[in-house]
Amino acid sequence: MMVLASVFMGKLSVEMGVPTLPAILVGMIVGVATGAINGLLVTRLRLPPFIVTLGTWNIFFALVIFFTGSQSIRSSDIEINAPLLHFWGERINLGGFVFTYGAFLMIFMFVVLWLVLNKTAWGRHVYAIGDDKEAAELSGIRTDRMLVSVYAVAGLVIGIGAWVSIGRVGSVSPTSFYEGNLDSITAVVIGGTSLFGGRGTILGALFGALIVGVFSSGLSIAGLDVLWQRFALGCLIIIAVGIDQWIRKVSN
Amino acid sequence: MEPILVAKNLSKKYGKVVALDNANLELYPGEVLGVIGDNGAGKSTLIKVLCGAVKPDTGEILLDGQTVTFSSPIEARTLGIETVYQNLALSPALSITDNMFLGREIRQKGFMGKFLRFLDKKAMADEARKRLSELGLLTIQNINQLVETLSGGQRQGVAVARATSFGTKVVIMDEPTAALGVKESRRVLELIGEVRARGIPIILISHNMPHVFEVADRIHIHRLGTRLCVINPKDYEMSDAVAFMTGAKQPPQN
Repeated sequence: MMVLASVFMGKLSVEMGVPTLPAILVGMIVGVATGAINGLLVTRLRLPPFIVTLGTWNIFFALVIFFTGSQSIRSSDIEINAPLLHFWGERINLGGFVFTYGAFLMIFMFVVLWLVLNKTAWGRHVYAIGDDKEAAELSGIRTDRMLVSVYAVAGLVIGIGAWVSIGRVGSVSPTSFYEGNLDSITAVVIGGTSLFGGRGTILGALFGALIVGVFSSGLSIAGLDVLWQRFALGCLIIIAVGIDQWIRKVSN
Repeated sequence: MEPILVAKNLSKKYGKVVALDNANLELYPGEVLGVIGDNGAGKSTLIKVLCGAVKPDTGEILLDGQTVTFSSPIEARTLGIETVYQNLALSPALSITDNMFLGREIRQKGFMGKFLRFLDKKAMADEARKRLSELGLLTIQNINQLVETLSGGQRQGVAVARATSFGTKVVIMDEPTAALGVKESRRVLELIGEVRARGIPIILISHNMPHVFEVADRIHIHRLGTRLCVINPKDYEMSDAVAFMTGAKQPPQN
């Protein structure tokens, strides 16, 4: 989905001459729409979410290849035609530390989503549904509507991520971030989010992402083979979730 | 005295199985009506119809003398019929306050609430505390404790507090003591007394005869999809009730 949204942004602004801002907007709408499609498939057809997302993941990947003809949009072309797409990749030097604008956007997004999840009824309902959908339904929450909106919000976040990803890698490549979803699942699971729903925090997800990021960057810098980086990441997931389960057992 | 809730000639068939066969029920203000019946007698279907989870094939329900129909438990609830489900319908990972206000949260006043939709956590916590103490449940220390950290009886208490908090006319309790130990059951029975003391009538469905006989003012005995009789627990023994329920003994004519 993220790559699909970034392809829309890149294609429209670089190759079709659409002004950059509307092109970005279209890309975000694509994110929201694909999210909503997932949500509708899950709620209307009552399909298991895992199957739906696995299916649409492949479909969207195929669409990306179709739209791009497997061609990347080059970084230099983006720089000439739509430099705004690179905005979040711009660097700023603060007291000797170099940050991308994207890093600030990330912090902003974490704050906004934390507020939404903890301070609004919508956020509380997300937890309630994840916890026990039937109980939430009986409490008067319109669970199907809520679920579609959750998927749509995830789609919006993906749309924003698509913009950031262009800044990060420079070009729009149909095959980049192919495993991005697995990486994000890894990050949130390490951050303590339950795959069975209802449990997890924004702060946990942030730390999960940081751990995964620091871990893989660190191993890269240490000169470890990519092969063994993956091996280590796999071990990290199992150990992290194992410790989490153990803590839960002990604390009960 | 006029009954607050009346069910008239309710029928419900599932294929060829007749779950309800012209069943009637009346609930009077301020009373606890026990509903008992053998397995398969149709009492759960009767309750599901009353709480809006199942639509009857025929028959009508009157609340305060007005005919009402509802297609979901939420509609029944907006009309003032609250149900405490056997599984309680609580979200264990949320706090007591969150659970009590789930689906009817209080928003902050002004810009923060209206446009950013922020919740007024303090108002909700205060209200939740008030409700729990009214029901004598202030043993719960921290109102923002997660429900999963509570005991079974305390959870039941939270569910009851929620059910009695929002302009409720009738509370239906489905097997409230089934999953509880002796001490906790006692607490829940006291809770039923507290709710009645506040003037809210209760329909209590239970398999536990001693509990029903202890708290019910009248006992509705359900058999073969319909009301067999209504007895006063002071006039009969539990063994009589079981005999009526199973058909071993002829019910009194009333």
